[in-house]
Amino acid sequence: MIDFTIGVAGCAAGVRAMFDSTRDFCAEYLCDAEPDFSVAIDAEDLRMERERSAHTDQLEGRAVRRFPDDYLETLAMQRKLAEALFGYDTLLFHGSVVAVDGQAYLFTAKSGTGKSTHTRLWREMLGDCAVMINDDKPFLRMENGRVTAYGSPWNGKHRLGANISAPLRAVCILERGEVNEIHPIVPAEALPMLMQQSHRPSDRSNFQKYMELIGALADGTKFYRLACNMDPSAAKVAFEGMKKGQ
Amino acid sequence: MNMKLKDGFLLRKIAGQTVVVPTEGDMDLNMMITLNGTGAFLWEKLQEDVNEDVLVAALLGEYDVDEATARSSVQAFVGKLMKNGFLA
Repeated sequence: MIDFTIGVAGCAAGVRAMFDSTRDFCAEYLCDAEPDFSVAIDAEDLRMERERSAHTDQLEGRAVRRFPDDYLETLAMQRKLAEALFGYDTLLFHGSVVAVDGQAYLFTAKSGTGKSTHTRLWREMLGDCAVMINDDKPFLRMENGRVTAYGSPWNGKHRLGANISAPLRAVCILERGEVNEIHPIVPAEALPMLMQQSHRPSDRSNFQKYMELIGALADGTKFYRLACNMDPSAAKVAFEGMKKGQ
Repeated sequence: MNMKLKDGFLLRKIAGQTVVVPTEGDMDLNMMITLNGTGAFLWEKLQEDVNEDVLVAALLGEYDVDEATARSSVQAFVGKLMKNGFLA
C-alpha cells in the first residue's frame, strides 16, 4: 500500500493506493498537509472500474477495451475523490479550462467535439497570456456565490494543465459550425450540458448536494454557446465575445 | 387506471427550471428532464397513486382552463411519462 496526500480544489486529500504509479500520476499535487478526508482504493474498486468501462464500451457499440490495473486505479481514485469533494462544495467537471488575465474560461461539450483543439487555438493566439488550468477534468468549487476552477491530475491525453486555480468567468458550450459565432445563453439553457458533463454521485445521499452545486454553478457564472470551426479566428471570436460580456 | 411515479427521482428548481434526475433504479442515471409549470404540478400529484380524473380535477382546481384542455394536457404528460418508463 502507498499512502500520500494531495492538495486538490483547496482541500488536502489522503490517498491509500496500491500502485506507485498512482502517486507519480499525482506528482504535481503531492503535499504534506493534514488530510481533510481520505480515500482508499482496493482490488474491488478496480474490478468495478473494469466493469463500468466494459459496460460503456458495449453501450457505445465498441469492442470492450482492456485497461491495465494501474490506469484503472487512477479512475477509481478520481471517482472516490469526486464523491468526497461533494462535501466540500466541489464538482468534477468534463471540459477544457484555460485562464487569461487570471480568469478562467471553461469549454465543455461531449467528447470529440474539439474542446482541446479550441483551447489550443487560444494558446496560439494569446501565447503566454493563456495558461491551461486543465484540459479534461477540472474541479469547480462553489463558494459564496462564486465559482473557482482548479486543476486536477486528470488533465487529458495531452497532459495539459497545472496545479493552479482561477475564478471562473464563463462556461462556454462548444459546437462545431461552419462559421464562428458566439452568443450568451441563459443558465437554464446550459443546464442539460452542465448535468451531462459533471460527475454525478454514485452515492444516493450526495444527490441533494449535487443538485445544489449545479444550481450554484448555474447562478455563479456566465454562459455562452459557441459555434466554431478549427480556424485560428475561432479563438478570437470566442475570447472577444466572452471578454466583452462584463 | 391508477398510476404513480416510480421511486428514486429527485426534483429541484435550478436556474428557474424544474429539473428531475433519477438517483437509483432502472432509469438511465445520466439523464435529466426539465418540467414546465404544469408538468411540475402533475409530477407532484403523481407521487401518489392517482387516476386520470384526479389529475384533471387537480389541474382544473389550480389553473384557469376548461376540462377538455386539462384532460388533453394530462393525457399528453402521462403518455410521455409512460413511454419513457417513469411510471411504476
